Amino acid sequence: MTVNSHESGAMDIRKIKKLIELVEASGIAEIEIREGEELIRISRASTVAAPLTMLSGTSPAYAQAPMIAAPTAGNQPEPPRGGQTPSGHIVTSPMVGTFYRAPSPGSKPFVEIGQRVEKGETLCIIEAMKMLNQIDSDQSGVIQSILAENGQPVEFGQSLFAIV
Amino acid sequence: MHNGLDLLDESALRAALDPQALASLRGIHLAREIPSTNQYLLDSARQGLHGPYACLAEYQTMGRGRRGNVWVSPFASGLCMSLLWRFERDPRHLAGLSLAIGVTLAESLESCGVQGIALKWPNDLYWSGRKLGGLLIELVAQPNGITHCVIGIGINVRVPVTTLDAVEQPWVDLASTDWNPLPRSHLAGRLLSGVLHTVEHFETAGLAPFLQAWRDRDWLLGQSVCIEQLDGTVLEGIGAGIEDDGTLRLDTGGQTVSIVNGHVRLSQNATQLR
Repeated sequence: MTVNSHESGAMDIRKIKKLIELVEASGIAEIEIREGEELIRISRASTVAAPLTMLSGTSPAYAQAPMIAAPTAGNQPEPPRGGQTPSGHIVTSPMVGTFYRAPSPGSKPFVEIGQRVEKGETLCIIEAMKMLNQIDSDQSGVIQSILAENGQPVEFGQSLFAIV
Repeated sequence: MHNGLDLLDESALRAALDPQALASLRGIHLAREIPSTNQYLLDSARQGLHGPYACLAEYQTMGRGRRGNVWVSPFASGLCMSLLWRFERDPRHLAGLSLAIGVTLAESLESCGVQGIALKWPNDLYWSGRKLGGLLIELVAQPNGITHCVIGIGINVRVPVTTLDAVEQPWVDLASTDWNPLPRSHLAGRLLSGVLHTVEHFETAGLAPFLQAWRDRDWLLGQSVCIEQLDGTVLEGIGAGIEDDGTLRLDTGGQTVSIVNGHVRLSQNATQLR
């Protein structure tokens, strides 16, 4: 998730944080809010190079970090919305096998879109011939998209997740 | 040991390891009770433990089979054993390891006097049409080409008959076979020695050296089998051996397909015994 604002000075950081949490919980791709001269746009699927690693709501760095991107001119291209070509860091399959999003059938998936993951956190399992390969994230960030379907075969090198 | 419990003993286990295996093993964790021997080693590997390291337990409270299946083994009645091994290869090169380990376990048990062990693809151990043991391999790949591998082994040794009523599939224990009875620690030492040699050999040579021994014990060969896919579709055909990469060949009538995953069982009308 990234945040673009045309004016970073006045809008309350807590208000922005609250908005981010709302967007995260809602599943909507993007929201734009204007308050007088101020404009804030929160997008779940942006390629804009915002300092994403600082967007964790629980991180102490959050409140101090320059979370809001520098003011931008009006001609900036629209950030892509969810479902478009993935960008960011792509996690690929290290082997041929079956892609599983959860540790066992019926249990909660390891990760969901929009979720923040740390380096080393398990993202999925690839099974081949009764060997279960836990795929860990090799980068911290936010899951932008999940590019394979649960229970479906994947090839070596196939894209599984995009992390931004 | 025929009366009373035959508990695991670390010094007896070490004494039963062959010298090369004993030298290479960095440590053994022996527990009375543990959630899962595989999970213990996976967690330890993430915390920096280097293999080869073995973990054995008399009882697992959350013994795991494949994908959420439960591995049931009453206290001190079987072998619940896992080995952590650090492969200096990425997981792509480890395809077929499960078959190689299956062969090794079959050979080790045969050296204990059990005749006629068959392998049900990819790595279940069968005797007289019933499941004697199985294994579950879990991998965690590192970005630097290192793969932590945990090989979990479950063997039914002497299982009280009434306790496994809940287990649906036909099963058998070593005590019901023609084996030469061994204390469980001794059996564990023999199996672990075999597995240690195999992983080392596999790391350089891959599945090729194990293929013939696997094919000699192919339980599904020529049998009518059903393979259930995750989406519910069922493939039916005749077991047609394995490819050199370890995938199962299924003859679906004029066409042979290679299977990487799926729940494999004999067709209802097929002969269970071989």
